[in-house]
This record gives sequence, C-alpha cells and structure tokens, in this order.
Amino acid sequence: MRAGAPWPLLRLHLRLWAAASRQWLLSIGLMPDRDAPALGYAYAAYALALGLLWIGASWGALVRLTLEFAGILPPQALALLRSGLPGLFGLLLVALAAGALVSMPLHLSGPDVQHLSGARISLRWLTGLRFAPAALAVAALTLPVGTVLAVLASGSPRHYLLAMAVLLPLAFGAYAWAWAIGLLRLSVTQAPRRALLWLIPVALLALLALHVPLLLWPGQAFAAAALAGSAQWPALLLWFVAGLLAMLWAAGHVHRSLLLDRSLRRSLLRSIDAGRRWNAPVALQQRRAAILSRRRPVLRLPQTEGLMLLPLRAALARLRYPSSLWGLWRLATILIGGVNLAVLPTQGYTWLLWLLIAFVYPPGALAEDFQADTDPQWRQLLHLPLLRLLLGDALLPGGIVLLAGAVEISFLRLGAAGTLEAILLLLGLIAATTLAQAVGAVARQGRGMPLPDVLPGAIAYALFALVGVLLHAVLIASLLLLVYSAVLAWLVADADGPHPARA
Amino acid sequence: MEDPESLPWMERGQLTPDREPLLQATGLGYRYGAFRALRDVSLQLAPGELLALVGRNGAGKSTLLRCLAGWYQVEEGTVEQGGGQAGGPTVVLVPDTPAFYAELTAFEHLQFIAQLHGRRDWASEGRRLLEVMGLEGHERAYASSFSRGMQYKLGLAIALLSRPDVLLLDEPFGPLDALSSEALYRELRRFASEGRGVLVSAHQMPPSVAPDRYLLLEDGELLCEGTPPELRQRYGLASLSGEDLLRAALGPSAVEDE
Repeated sequence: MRAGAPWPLLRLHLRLWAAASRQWLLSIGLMPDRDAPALGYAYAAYALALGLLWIGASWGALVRLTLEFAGILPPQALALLRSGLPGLFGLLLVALAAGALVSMPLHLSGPDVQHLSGARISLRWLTGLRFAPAALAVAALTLPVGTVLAVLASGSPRHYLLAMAVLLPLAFGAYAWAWAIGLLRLSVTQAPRRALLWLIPVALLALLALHVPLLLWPGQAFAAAALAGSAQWPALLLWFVAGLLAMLWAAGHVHRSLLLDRSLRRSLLRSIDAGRRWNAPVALQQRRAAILSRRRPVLRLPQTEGLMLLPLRAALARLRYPSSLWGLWRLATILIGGVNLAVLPTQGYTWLLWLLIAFVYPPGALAEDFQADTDPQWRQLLHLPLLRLLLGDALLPGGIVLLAGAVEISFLRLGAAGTLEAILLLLGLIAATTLAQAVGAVARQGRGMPLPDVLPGAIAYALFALVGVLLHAVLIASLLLLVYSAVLAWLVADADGPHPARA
Repeated sequence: MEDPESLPWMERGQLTPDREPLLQATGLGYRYGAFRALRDVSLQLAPGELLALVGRNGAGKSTLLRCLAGWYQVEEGTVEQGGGQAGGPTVVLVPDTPAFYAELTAFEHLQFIAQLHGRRDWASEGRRLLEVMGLEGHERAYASSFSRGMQYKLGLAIALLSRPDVLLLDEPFGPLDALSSEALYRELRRFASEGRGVLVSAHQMPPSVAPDRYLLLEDGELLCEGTPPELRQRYGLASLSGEDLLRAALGPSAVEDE
C-alpha cells in the first residue's frame, strides 16, 4: 500500500510544536499578553537577552571550572582520559544501541494512534518528523558534556568550539543508528526473534573489545578535534547521513500493528506523566507499576526481620527497576557539584541560579521509598516511628550518594582536613535534602505539617549557597546544614503525633 | 473477654457493661472546604461485631471510614479506640482502590509487613489468606498486573495478616464476583469471631452478606441504625438487605437512582 502525501502530517506537527512552544513560553512568562502585545514583546526580548547572557556566562564558567578541575586532577588521570576517549565513545554507542532496544524510539500519542490506524501515513516521514526535535534535545545534552570532555582531555580551551562542532554530527549520527536498531525491534512481530536483536549490542561490545576501527572512529574523531584541532568533515557527514538512511530504511519496515500496540501502552504512561505536575511522587509510582506489570520479577525479598528489611527492600526495588537509579544519579550530580563549588577556589556565583533550580526541585530519590511508606494505607501497617522509617528507607540511596561523592572528592587532592570538610559538607547536604524531601512527603499527606513542601529544600539551599559557596566557609556551612537537618527531623518526628483513632 | 460466638446472634452486636466498644465515634464532623461531608455522626463497634455502613454514592461513607481510621484529621467530635493491644495494629482501613509497592510481588507484600514487625509464623497464614482470596498461583506476580478485584483481595489479605482489632473495608464487594463475596464474608465472620470488629461500607450488599447491624448514612448524617430484626420491624419488612433498607428509609427512587 502506497503511503499518502507527507504535507498534512508536516502541517499537523508544525502546529503541535507551535502549541507546545507557546505553552512552554507561557509557563516561563515569555508569552506576550494579548491586550498589550508591544509591551509583552519588549519584555520577552529583554528576558530572552537576559537568558542568553546567563547561558553564555554559565558556559564560560563551565569552561573555567573544568580547567580548574583539570589542574587538580593527577596527570595520569588526564592521560588515561585522553587515551580512553575512543573506547569511551565506543561504549556509549553500545549503550545507545541497548537503550534503543529497551525504549521505543518511535511512539504515537493517543490521537496519533487513531489517525494512523485510519490513514495511510508514511512511517518514514513520521520517523523523520519525530527524530528532528529529539535530536535537538540530544544536542542540548551533548554540548555541555562535550565541552567538559574536550577541555578536560586537552587541558586547554583552545579547541573546544571545534570539538563541539564535531560532536554534533557524531551525536546525531549515533542517535540515528540507535533509532534504526530500535525501529528494527518494531519490525519483528515474533517475540523470540525480537529477543535475538539483543545480539546487536553484544556483538558491538565484542567488536569493541577486538578494537574494530569503525567503533573506535567516533572517539578518535572527537579526540582529533579536541586535542589537535583537526576535523574530518566528509567522514563526519558520511557517518551522519549513513545513520539517517539506516533509520529511514528501518522505519519503512516497521510493523504498523506492533507500533500501534506499543504506542497504546506508551500513551497510558504519558497520561500518568501528565499527573506529575500535581503529584510527582504518586505519578512516578504509577508509572513504575505500569512498566513493571509487564515484567517478570527477578530475585526475592530476603528473609530478614526488622528494620534491615527496609534497605534490603530498597536494594531489591532498584535491581528490579534500575531506571530509578537515574533520579539518584541526577541528585548525586547536583549535591556533589554543589560540594565542588564550595571547596574549589572557583567563583561559583554563575552556578547559583542553576543550583537554586536543582535544590528547590530535586528528584525525590532519597526519600521516594519513605514517600510510598507514608501513604496512609501503608503507614497504618508500618508500626515504626517516622524517623526510624526514614532512616531505614534512605540508608541505601543516601549511602550510594555519599560513597560516590567521597570517591569524587578523593580525586580533588584537598588534603586530609579539606577532604574531611568536603565529606562533612556532602553529609550535611544529603541529610538536609533527605529530610527536606521527607518533610515534603509528610506535608503531602496532610499530617499538620506547617511548611509548604518546597520550602525546606529552598532554606537548605540558601544556607549552603550563602555560607558554603559565597563565603567559602565549608565547615560552618556543614554544621549549619546538620543543625538545620536536626530541626527538620524534629518536624518529621512531631508530625508522627497522636493518631486520631488512637486518642 | 466473652466469646462473641457463644452469644445469641441478636446479641453479637450489642454492648454490655463488661464489653467495651472497640471503636467509638461521637459527634463526628468533617468538611471538604465549604462542603460538609459528615455531620454529628456517632457510632460504636463492639467486639465480634460485623457492621454494615450503607448509603448512596456520595453519602459520606468513605469519608467516615477515613476519619475512623485516622487518615483524616477529625475536625469535630472524637474517635476513641479501646481494647487495642500495645504495639499492634489497631484500626486498619482497606480503601476502595488499594495502593501497592510497585516493585514487590503479591507474596512479598505480605512478607514485608509481617517480617518488618518480626513475625515468624506468618508464611502459612499468608498462603492460607491468599488461597481464601483466590490468589493462589499469583504469589510471584506484581500487584500492578492484577485486575481491580484481585487487587482488592490482596489489600484485604495484607490487612487480615496484620491482625488489626478493627477492620474497616470500603466497598469490598464492589469489585468481587458472587463466589468471592461469599468467601470474603465467611473470612470476615471468622475474623470477627476472634473478638475483633469489622465495619463494611457498601452501596450494594450481596444477598449472602448478613451483618449484625446496619448503619444508614445519607448526606453525611446517620439516618438510622439497628439490628436486622429491629429494622425489619421498624419498616415492616419481611426480609432485609442493604437495598431493602435504602428503599424503605429513603423511598423507592433511592435504589432506582443507583
């Protein structure tokens, strides 16, 4: 069956993008008021200029911070990074291929499903239209990471702009290849044959171990740009175009009914995601439940009694749903990055706005099990004081962040006293963040908590930013955070007050 | 404590000077903003008693159960609980749509609750409860893969395993088939016979369910209460079910509206 003309589809997507952009601009206050458009446009231009200035300043600060970091790291570590770039990029390719097999690159919204089932729409066009905005998101993530890698590897900011320019076709090409693999999964209807596709990342890994040049080439191309300032543009273009063609070829083989079936499942997750705006923890739990309901449980809850069961349950939950570690990783990045700002001799003022956003709305990864346990249905069955419950629930995620931070701090060569201070500050941040999230969880259950749920996090940030970053008084900031944590702990314990039905 | 099973059927739900209520609410009131969901509700639940709270949709049944369980902070009146064992669960409510831990299987939910409190004799009891609820063979499945009826049964099994003094069930028969409803009723009777109390809310009660006492809630107020013989006599009925009571107390349109 020949597919229909792509123009209605293109028009539809342009409208959807325009509507989404308007919504986004409205949410950050940049959508001009209909009654006073001139004033609105002037304000939008002013805010846009300010935003660009801030991003530019942040970019400069990122380069400076990376240079400082490169100056602190031992030369052997930098040499290892330089020589390891091809292997690192090869591993990223393998991870992208595996990721594409786990998550579906092409998916349709509910209305799209109805439209596609009744119209002859070209899946190649649809894939192209979906790939474009996704590639922009990849670029937004790739550029800062590429900057850090380039400056760190070369130890100088000389070629980082070229390295970023080289990284874009590399990333777009790699992403297109990954989409091609993900789309192949949608072209095989029989589950056993679909499982065979997992041989692709395994084979890639084997080829990487055998040092096959094609897999090492992306990293070598990036290293050549970052270290020597040379770019192989024809090869880069070929890499990108080949990836794009492979993706469009695979899109032409997608099985429509399989795509519709998977899209319907995904639209359920999307409808759950829409609830995040109102109650993120509950929406996350529902999303997790919807995904796990299609999986077979691995391992078993250990036969242990008492409080130790809580961290063991936390470990089992993360093994069964490893994606939850992503939130923990993001939080660890925020907290460890914050500690770096305080202990390194850099002027971290540029980062304060980013940290404000990160601290006030951190992923609830440290207290997510506690959040589930404070649901009244479970709280009535868990006869532990709230603080002990929190300790048991946060022990594992908090321990992981502390360990990761301690390893990172040990590379900073701060001396024994400096290292201890940095670890103490990280401990204070972990404690304050955990308790701020716990206060939020208790407040959401309406148990008489006097604070709005984002305020405790904002206060913790203010203490850290003022004393830790602006004054560089690391020890005092640590102590203040620990004292503040004690106050939050008191609030949590106080919310555990008399149960109305047990008066 | 007197063995409730040894009492005549009529007396099971009645309090005597030596039998304190397990749960007692006096002058209970609750608002959602300007909307008054409950007003001046008083009730008692005796040991061994199975109480049915009937009423139309939106009458305030779920709100009353949540107030009794302590999920909602009571604004007016008091809720008192007597006869509780120190450290043990006293009042447990199973809501109409129970929530579960996404990463735990059905059996692990039972294991988690039992082992967290150091119970060693839970496994056989847990398996028996899952069997009674018709969930045998589904122990290793995630609760999120269950149908609504199966999820309610699992919520009930977890609540029963925790051995509360008072079990509050919000619309338990709604998602259950007739056979499961009968099995649940037998299990609730068995549970109550251990000197515990059960309060079941429903807007439609299966014919197999015969509570000791009915409470009728309408617009947040307790309209009437009594044992089946009392209510039959009061409304001149030959037989009594939840629907009969609604029709007799609120008029025939009450049930037709449902």
